[in-house]
Amino acid sequence: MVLRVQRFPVVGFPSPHLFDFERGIGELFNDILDGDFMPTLREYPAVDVAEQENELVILAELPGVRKEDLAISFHEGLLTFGGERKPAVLPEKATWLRNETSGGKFTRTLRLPFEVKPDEITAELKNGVLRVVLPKAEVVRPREIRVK
Amino acid sequence: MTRKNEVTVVQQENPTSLARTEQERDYMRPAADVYESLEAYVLMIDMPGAGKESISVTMDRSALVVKGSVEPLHEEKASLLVGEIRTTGYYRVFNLGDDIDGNTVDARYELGVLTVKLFKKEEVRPREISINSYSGKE
Repeated sequence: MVLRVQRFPVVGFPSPHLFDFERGIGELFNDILDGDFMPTLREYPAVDVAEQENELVILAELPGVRKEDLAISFHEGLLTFGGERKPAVLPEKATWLRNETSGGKFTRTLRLPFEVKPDEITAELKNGVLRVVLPKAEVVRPREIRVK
Repeated sequence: MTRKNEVTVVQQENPTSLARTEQERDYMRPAADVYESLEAYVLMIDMPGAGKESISVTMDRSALVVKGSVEPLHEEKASLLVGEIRTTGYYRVFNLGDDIDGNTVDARYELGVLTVKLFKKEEVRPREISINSYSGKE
């Protein structure tokens, strides 16, 4: 019998610190010029992926997005979430003075670094942050091995 | 809108202090959309992850200061594989014109967005003047 250990390769996961520099420069100019000088180069929406002992936690910044305008799916190691941030409805004779926020339709797919239990994935949207918790499959959980 | 989303706006005569604490110095400048209607200016400020209790809105005659902090997003033992969200809090100052009536301000926090409605002074609101046309005898 051949034992196959399947692990999804970690693709497209840059260093967590890569964005600090870019954000720093952008904010410096924003402060000086009082405006959105440097549009962000990051993907929208911004996400965090954190591995905990027994689960993977994915966070996404989704301000202004309603629960009913958001869909999440999981298929073959890929977690996809997408939806729409509906634009504000302006009252009659109103005009925009500033428009800095990201909005409209979005979708983002993340390849998970290991197997999870698809039936136990939970998601919560609170204060504009989506939190998806994906419990690790038994095969990838850390296990202590007793020495006899 | 439900009352639980309302945010108290502190209004003061003296200029609001713009000083920041050591912690607040790392706060990022939140993106904002602003529109002007006939009766008010409306600010919509993206502050995802900020706890409602942490949000403060302070204003004087010339400035509106918005602050809010974000609780740590991850467990201490978690290892970060992707870290694009680098927010510990939000801080932004909006300069106000002298056409704002400081007595009527609404603020609420919903879906991670802080909306502040600053009503204009009664005397600067545009008034519609109906035009009567006289096209001869009626």
